[in-house]
Amino acid sequence: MSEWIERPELSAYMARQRWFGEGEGEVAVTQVRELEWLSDPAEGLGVRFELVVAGSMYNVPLSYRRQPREDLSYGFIGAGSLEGEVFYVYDALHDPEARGILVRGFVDGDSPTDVDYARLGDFSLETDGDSVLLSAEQSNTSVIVGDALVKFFRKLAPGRNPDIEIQEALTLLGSEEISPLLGWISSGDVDLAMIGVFQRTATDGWDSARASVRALQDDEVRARDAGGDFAGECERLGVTLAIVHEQMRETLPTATWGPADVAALVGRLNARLDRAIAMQDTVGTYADRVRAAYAAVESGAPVPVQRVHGDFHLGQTLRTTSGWKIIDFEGEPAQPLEDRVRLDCVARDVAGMLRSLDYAAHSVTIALGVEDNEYVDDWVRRNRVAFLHGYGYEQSESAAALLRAYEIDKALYEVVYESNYRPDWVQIPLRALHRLL
Amino acid sequence: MTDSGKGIDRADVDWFKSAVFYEVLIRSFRDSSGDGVGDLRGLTEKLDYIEWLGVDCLWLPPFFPSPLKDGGYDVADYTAVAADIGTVDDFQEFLDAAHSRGIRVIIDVVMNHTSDQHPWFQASRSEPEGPFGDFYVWNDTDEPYPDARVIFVDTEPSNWSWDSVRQQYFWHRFYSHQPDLNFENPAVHQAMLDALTFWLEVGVDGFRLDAVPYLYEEEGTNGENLARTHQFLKKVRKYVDENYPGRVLLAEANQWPADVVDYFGDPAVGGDECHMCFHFPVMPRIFMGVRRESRYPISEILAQTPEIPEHCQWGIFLRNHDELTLEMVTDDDRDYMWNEYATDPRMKANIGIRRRLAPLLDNDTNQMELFSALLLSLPGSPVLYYGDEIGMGDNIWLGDRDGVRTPMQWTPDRNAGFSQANPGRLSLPVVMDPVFGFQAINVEAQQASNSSLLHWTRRMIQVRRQHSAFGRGTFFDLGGSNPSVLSYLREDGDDVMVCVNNLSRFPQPVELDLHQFSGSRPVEMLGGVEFPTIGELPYLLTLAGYGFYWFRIARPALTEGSVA
Repeated sequence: MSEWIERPELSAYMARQRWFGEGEGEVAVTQVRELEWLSDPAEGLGVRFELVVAGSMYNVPLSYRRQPREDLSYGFIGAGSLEGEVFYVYDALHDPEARGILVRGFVDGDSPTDVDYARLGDFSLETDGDSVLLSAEQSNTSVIVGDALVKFFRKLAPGRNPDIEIQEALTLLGSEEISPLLGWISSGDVDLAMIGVFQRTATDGWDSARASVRALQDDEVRARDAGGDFAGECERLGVTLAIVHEQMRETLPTATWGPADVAALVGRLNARLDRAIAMQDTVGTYADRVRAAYAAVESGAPVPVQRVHGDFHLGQTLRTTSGWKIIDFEGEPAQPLEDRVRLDCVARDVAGMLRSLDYAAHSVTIALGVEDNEYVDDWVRRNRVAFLHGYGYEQSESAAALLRAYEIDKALYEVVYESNYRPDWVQIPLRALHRLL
Repeated sequence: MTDSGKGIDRADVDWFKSAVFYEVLIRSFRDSSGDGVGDLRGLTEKLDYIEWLGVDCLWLPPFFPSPLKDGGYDVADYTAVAADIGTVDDFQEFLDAAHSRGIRVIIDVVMNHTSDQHPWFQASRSEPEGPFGDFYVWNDTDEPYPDARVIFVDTEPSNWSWDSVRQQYFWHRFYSHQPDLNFENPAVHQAMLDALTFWLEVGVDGFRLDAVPYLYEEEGTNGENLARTHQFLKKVRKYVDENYPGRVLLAEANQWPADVVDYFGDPAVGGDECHMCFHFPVMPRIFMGVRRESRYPISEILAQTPEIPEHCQWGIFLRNHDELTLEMVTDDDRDYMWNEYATDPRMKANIGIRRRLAPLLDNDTNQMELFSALLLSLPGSPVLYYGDEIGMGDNIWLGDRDGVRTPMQWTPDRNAGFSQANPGRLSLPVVMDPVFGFQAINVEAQQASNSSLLHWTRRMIQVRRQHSAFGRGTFFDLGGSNPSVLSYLREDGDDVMVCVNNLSRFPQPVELDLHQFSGSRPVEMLGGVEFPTIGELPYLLTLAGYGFYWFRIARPALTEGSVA
């Protein structure tokens, strides 16, 4: 039995991490599955994956060092013992040497029996042993090694991770609109990490969009006349999403929703509305109009459905020197796997981006403390139109009703979230609801 | 006439890779004779200034006898000097004086066509069976080569024009007063080589070859970049290399970089056509990047620029005597640029007209400095346009390209110190508006002020000269966390420069992955200030609006245990 169950250091360390999604405070470690050593502790540095159950199951690769390392104190967990000998234990992702050992299976293909390093095509990782840990990530921990980005999943669930599933399919199809997948690490039916091409010169769409909004403020012109106009980029982003959707249809399951399926969708939307009302009174004032908007989806027309991105927003897009790339296909991380892989309507992703554009624009005014939103509203309108035009979103009453329903659903979720965590920001989704209803 | 070449190291055959070029229009630079037209002796007088500025090589657009219907690019005699500019002896004197200061000189050669006033054409039209009868492309009909586009669509209905003397059509890719030479005729090859030889014997350091993609015509093609055009350029290169080593050929091929790269020739031998080619798309991309406050327009074009052979170099420029053009772009990129440019009234207004840098940038010193910092640090040899170093303006009321060819503004005195002539006699009027007029913008005032754009430009050129990384180094886009900040690494052996440019008018932070230089302290090159030591974490910098940094990075000796 792992000593971390009886001792507090690991649960204390996990409680301090952003990726630990069990709310405030410590959660006791109830089970630890230690995978085989990737390097032998007898030689002074032992590295292995440990699958730690503390509430949910988490991926916590650890490095066991015979000598303490002052410069790694940020990732220090505690002193531990292996066969009676004292070792200093670190989060292996904060230990540069251990990081090299964690990805070594991509270099030579060697690995213990219970850890599988899968490699697509003839990929073989080239590295000089150097790696960089990316900061500021919410739910995963990513490391750059050479020209590759290794994303270590933290919260684990049995079953193929949808990010790997979708990116594998699109990569094998030759998609140029994603960052190609190179391989993954798994143990049995649990995926631990994935490796893909690192887009070195990229920034995410959120930063670019906000730069464009900021550029508006002292131009005293409409968005279309402004130097920082983003509509061209938005249109190309719409084109990119349309291509990725097409590629997903080509290589992953599709279906058509009949009236019963659409009714089920409306049922799910209404259930989410009910939960939102329960959590936030403000939402209640919109309830009747929201239900009416949802009801409009039930037009009787069949709805083609497919795998979708599921959590599409500006932060999931990369502007690179060869156009836009779409990343992170794992769906909404907080949702159960079953919901994340459900076939859905493309309007869900389109609506996600429309909400994101609204957010990007108004987050700038909030940061600036500006009350007058007129130039920002103009920016949002212009870029919505450009994105929809680039996407080629179907122009029909039923398609419009679907898009509106998904936008409202997203905005309701935002109202609840912002009311709880960022009351300053709740005006953004409230204004959107006002406009949508 | 002899090539003394004194002051020039002819054994340095790669000199152009790190040179700073300066384009000067002789007629607009300095008038020594008081007749209202700038001349060679005037240019010679101003060599001290050019040397002080730090220029390595002058580029002189055509100064040959010409009816001047196309700014002198309509040449009527390849081996003489236009009478209003001076004589061949004046040129020799000027060239020797430049060489003695270590300044090289390249001149323009228009290979594709001549003026219709050239004696060759006059002989060709009047004497079809004579020695020049086959010097041009004649035909009984105007039907051949229908796939060659008409370049000057606004003025020319066709590439063929009727000659009433010879009673035949002649071929011209540009204006109808500029008949194309017939490169099928070996005598034309020889005549061209003879013209080059004349100036090589005088001692020039190379040629800018105007409009090179169009030398040959072939049925069923667009008449651009044909294999035989490349063959002829290889022949020229071989001749120059064998007889006049150390001279440079600079091609003007207004095409996409992937096509232009062919004009460098065979990479296996380090290039066997032109030593240099202009990189046209980089210039509109810089304008677009700053307008959009986004590095992507610039990063993209650099990522799409192919490798060039070892002994070759791009020529890059912000402005020259031509317009800001989108002509070089093709297909997808044309759509992209038109989408972005043509929907933006501010950018659209700048297509197809001639503006100088300062008025294009609203006379904003910060932007002018940022643009110059980019020009001097991006891969390629920078080509400055006379007057831009002091932020000269233009005169959009003058026709065609003359608006950006107004006299150099030397002093606040009469005619801007350009000429002693009666102001009414000047071939082009000096700029006199309150913002850009010579009383506000002139060399004398800016030389007297250490904070002037002129002094700043000179300092930047000096810093550039101290670092081989700029001229000969590799280019590596550093990316970074902020889409408005363009950062790149220039590296030539131990000489490592990091350049960080804020394309936004607002202050911006940026985090750069510099961990490969962990332990080293960047030194900012204009002030020599040492910045904090680079560590394992992303390196945080903040920049003022349109701010930029040039850092020198000294690689630290690797300390034990510093890397995993």
